Amino acid sequence: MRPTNQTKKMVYGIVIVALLVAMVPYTQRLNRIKVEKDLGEAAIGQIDSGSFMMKLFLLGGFRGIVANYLWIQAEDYKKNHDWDRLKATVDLITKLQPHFLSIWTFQGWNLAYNVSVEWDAPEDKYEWIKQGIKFVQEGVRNNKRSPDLMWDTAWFYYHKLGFSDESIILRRLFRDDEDEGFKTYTDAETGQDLVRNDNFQLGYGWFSNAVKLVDDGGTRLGGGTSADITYIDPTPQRKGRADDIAFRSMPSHAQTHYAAALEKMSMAGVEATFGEVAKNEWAKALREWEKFGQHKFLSHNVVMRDGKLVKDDVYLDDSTNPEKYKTLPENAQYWTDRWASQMNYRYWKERCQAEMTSDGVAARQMFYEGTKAYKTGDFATAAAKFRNGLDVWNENLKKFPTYREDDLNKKDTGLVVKRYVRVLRQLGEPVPDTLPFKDLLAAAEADNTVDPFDAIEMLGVGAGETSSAPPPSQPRAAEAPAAQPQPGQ
Amino acid sequence: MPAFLIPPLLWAQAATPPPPASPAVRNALLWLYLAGDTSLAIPGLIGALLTWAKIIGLVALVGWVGSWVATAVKERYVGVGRWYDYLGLLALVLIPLTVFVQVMQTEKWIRAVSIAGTPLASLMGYVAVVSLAIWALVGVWKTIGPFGRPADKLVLVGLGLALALGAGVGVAMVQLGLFTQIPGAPEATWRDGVVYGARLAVTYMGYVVLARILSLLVGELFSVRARRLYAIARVTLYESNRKMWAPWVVLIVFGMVLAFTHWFLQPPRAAEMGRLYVGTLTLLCSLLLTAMVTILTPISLPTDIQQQTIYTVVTKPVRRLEVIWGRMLGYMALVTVLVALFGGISLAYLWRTVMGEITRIEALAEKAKADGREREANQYSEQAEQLRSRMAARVPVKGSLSFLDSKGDPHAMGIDVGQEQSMKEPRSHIEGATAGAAIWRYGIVPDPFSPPNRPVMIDRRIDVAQFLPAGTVEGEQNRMLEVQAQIAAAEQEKSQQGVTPARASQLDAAIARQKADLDKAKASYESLAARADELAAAGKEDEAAALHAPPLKIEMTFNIYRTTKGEVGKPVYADIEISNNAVGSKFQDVFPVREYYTNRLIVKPDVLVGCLGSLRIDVRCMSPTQYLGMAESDLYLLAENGDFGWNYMKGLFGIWLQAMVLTAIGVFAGTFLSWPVALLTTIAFFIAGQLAFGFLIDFTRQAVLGGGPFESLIRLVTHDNQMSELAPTAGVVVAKTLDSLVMPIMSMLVYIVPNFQVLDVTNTVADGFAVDWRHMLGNTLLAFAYALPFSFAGYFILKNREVAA
Repeated sequence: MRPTNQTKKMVYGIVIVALLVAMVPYTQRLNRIKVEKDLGEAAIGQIDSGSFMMKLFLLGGFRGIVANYLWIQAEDYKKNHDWDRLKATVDLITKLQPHFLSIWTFQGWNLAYNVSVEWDAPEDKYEWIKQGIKFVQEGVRNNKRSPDLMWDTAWFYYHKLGFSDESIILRRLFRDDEDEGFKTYTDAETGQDLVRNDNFQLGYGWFSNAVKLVDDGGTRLGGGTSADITYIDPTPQRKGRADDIAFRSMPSHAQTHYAAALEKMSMAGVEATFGEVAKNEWAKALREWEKFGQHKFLSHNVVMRDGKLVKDDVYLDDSTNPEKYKTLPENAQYWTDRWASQMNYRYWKERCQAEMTSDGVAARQMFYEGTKAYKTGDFATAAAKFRNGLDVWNENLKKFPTYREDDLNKKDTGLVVKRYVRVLRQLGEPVPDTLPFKDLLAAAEADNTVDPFDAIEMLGVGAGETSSAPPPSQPRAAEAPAAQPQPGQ
Repeated sequence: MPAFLIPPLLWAQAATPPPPASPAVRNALLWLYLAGDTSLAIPGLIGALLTWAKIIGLVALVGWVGSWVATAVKERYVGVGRWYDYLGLLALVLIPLTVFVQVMQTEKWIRAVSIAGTPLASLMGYVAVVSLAIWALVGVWKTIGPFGRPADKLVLVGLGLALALGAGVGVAMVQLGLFTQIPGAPEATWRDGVVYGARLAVTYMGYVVLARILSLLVGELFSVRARRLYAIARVTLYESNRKMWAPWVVLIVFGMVLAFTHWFLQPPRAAEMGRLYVGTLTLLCSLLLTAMVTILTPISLPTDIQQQTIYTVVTKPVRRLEVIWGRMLGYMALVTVLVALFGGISLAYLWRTVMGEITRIEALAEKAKADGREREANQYSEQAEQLRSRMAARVPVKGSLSFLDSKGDPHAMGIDVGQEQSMKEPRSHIEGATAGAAIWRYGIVPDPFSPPNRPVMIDRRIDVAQFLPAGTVEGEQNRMLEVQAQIAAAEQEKSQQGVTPARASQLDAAIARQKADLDKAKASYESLAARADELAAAGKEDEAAALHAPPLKIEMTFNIYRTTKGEVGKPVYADIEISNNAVGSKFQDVFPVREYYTNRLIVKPDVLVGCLGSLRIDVRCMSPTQYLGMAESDLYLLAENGDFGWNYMKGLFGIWLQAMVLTAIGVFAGTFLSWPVALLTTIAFFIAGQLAFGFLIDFTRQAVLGGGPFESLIRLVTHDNQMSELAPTAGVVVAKTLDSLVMPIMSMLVYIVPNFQVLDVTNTVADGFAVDWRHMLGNTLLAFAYALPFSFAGYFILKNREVAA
């Protein structure tokens, strides 16, 4: 007998239900493995339901094709200078491939560096840098295990805002930005959210977090994943490898730049800060350098010790501690010395030590006030401030020979000496023979470069708000014709 | 190719001694040539119609011959082993062989051989074509006898005549020496004339068949009745509504996407929010509507035929054309309702989001200003302004752009700084603090790209009345000066020698009339000006301003190419000078250029007074070592700020047109294909026309990098790049042969696949510019030019098909 339509339907129904039931234990098993190997989406980063829906329902297997198409389109938009459509397209790609690191790194960099540079006004540049930073931060939210993206975020705050040609204006725009979310970082030690007004502080915060993530064993997909998984196409991790010395030095660098930026007009129109605030920030910078110096690195080579081939422990801080340095085996000495020089560790440490003293901050303040007086033509004040400052600075630096002999410091101090001599010339006074740092004068006279990160040098003392004029709202009249034609002539 | 666009000009440039032919013959030959050569398109409506007729004619010819040959094969008149079938077989073998020989010659496998002065490959080609033609002719001949009507026999005669005409035109062109000038052959023999004439003849044959088809259609067209169309349209509408719930599905998806837009679109920069949202919304409308139409239309007819519900229709006195058009009308009614709904919903959505954003940004600007953050305040108000100007329908009045280089010499283009950019309208640059300038000219001005010794004039006059309306101080003053100019012109004409007395008296009358006009204009100008001055003196500025014409707005979008950073934070400055040379008035200003923003300049309207439609605007870059980039559309007078909502609906109308063409294709495919195949066909047409049209054009121009499909396949498999020449191995030669066979056929697609992209004007809407009525009319004509032939083709297929089988 042939099965009737009814029977057929029932059989199909039963098969469907049976298959679904069979799926249940299988799904449970898969979930269990996911948890074991830490492979779930939630483990990688935040779950975005919109992105998930789009991938699952709208595109299915076409996801790759669509993503490819969007990449091509994004490059086309870039070529045609259609920046906002580029941004919208890039956002769409991230919805399709939220855990693909290259899109965040590549396009975040694209927005913050390549797009921003195409815009002429600093306000617009700032806006695109902000878009780029926020973009890569979104990447961090989606890939919580990636030190790379965290490091990129920090780098954009630190480098793109802090070291551009327009930094003095960009940093000011950052300070004035009312978007608190953009100015927040999570403190690596306390886990508190902190809002800060200086991009170097944000850089410090994010760099510290990247370092912390590495210290906590966080590598992309790494945590919890058992060793028996071999990735066919492992995600490359650029930052935070065990021997990445530069990676670990970045929090200290960012903190040092923050302290240094406090003591000059590093934001257009914002006066420098001295006193206890500056001292504290320099002290914090020193702590950061010491922390970096006390991190254990392993030498690249192996040596035979007690019949075993081992790598030596290397601490960069030993280079500033002669007693301990002497006790080190020759191989460890070699690597300590080499890496300390490579990182210019002695300079940075000693600079912080020199700058954090009361004398150091006082001298800086006098230099700053002297420069302002010099630039406004108040030579008497300038002469007094420069002279006092140089004396205090000289006393202070006697304790820090490395820093004293450093080229950067020589250049800074030389500039003050040069200006002091010019002021004396204006006042008709002779240059005293007892003038400290007089030896720096010749080099300073030959050097005409200015500090691009000091608004007083770049824009002058009154460097406050310089902005493009607002668009005209009133119609302007045409000039009268040379000879106004008279009707009826 | 551009030379072909102006054949009359070429014609006039006879290098050889003028041929001894009367102008009438030459003109007739010219028109026959224009009507016959398919590689030629002349601009303008006539040219477009001619091109359209050529293509439709050729398609009709192929269809006509094809259908008769198919009948011949079916009725076993050909393909039964008679002598002519061997000719057909020969053609079948010769065609690929010819191409193979050709490819082997280009790949230098064999030497190029000529027989009696004709290259071997050409000779083989001729033989193949002639054999195929004879075979087809025999087939048609034998079938038309028993099956054809007298009119079909007449068509056959017509085809013969067309062939003779073509050959005649070809030979005549050679004889009169015209051939060398047009098709570009260095020396022409009568044989070239015949071969070229044969090509023309094919087009003429197309016209003959087209005439036959039109005669068949006329009767049908007159029997179409509105009530039957309405009935079928209504049924179609019900069907799509009940069977597929199509409108509801589409509406719900639209609503869903709108509700979750923030998932797909991160909030963009405020300045560009409107543009992005408008672009996305129109894209969404377009996708949903075209997807709906693509799925609905090709399914309906095949299902009707399959389920035999078509019996209930075809057994009634309903014309087959009505079956097609009724369906199209039904679907288009549905599309119309949906477009209206989408338009309403998306406008409301845009209003809420974008207007909300403007208010928000303006509040931020106020706050920043109050806090003394001047930079941010400016930035915010600039962004709000940008956003506001995009949410309008601006009507730009564009001039003609030419340049002065750094030395002050005139050029059509400025300096190319080597920046990568869109090639649609590339910007070129002027150097700062030099004599370099960009000049926009209004009026009847020479086209900067035409040669200086033979300038082509273009009309870029300003409609002054639009800017200086009558009844305003400047409007009346302008009228006064215009009338004055007319009087001066009339008087000059009168004073010339050789003016007939009749003309002179005519001129006198005109002058008298114009003088009266002038007095009136002068009186009203003086009274208006006096009143305006009085009001201004009395401190009633607003009332005084109402008497004046509105200020003239000039908008500019320049880009900046910096060679040095310059002073940090300092903008690049530009200098603009507006000169009204008719009366000698001038306006000058210096402004900071804001890159990627619209720079606005508001000028008192007096500068236009008495300009007679001509104006000159010079822009210079003031900052040394910096460059300013511009293209023609980067500066314009803003004629009016139209209503955005209305403009948005115009943009949606473009999508409506796309849906109409797609409906025609869907219904057409449904007439002869089963529904899955019809569905795929419609999708293929849509993808080819929407996404791949540019590629199709490249294909026709043989400009595809890496060769045709088979050569590309080899490159794909061997990981070869697109640029390098492939070594002429056997595989490559075979692939190239196959490509040479396939490519011409595929490149024909460009004539059949509708260019959907061109119907889409939503980018203009998103950029905040008004869609021109003329542009819309042109697009409508284009859409009908695609849709009608498809519907007619569907009609013929449906008519000749056994739907009840």
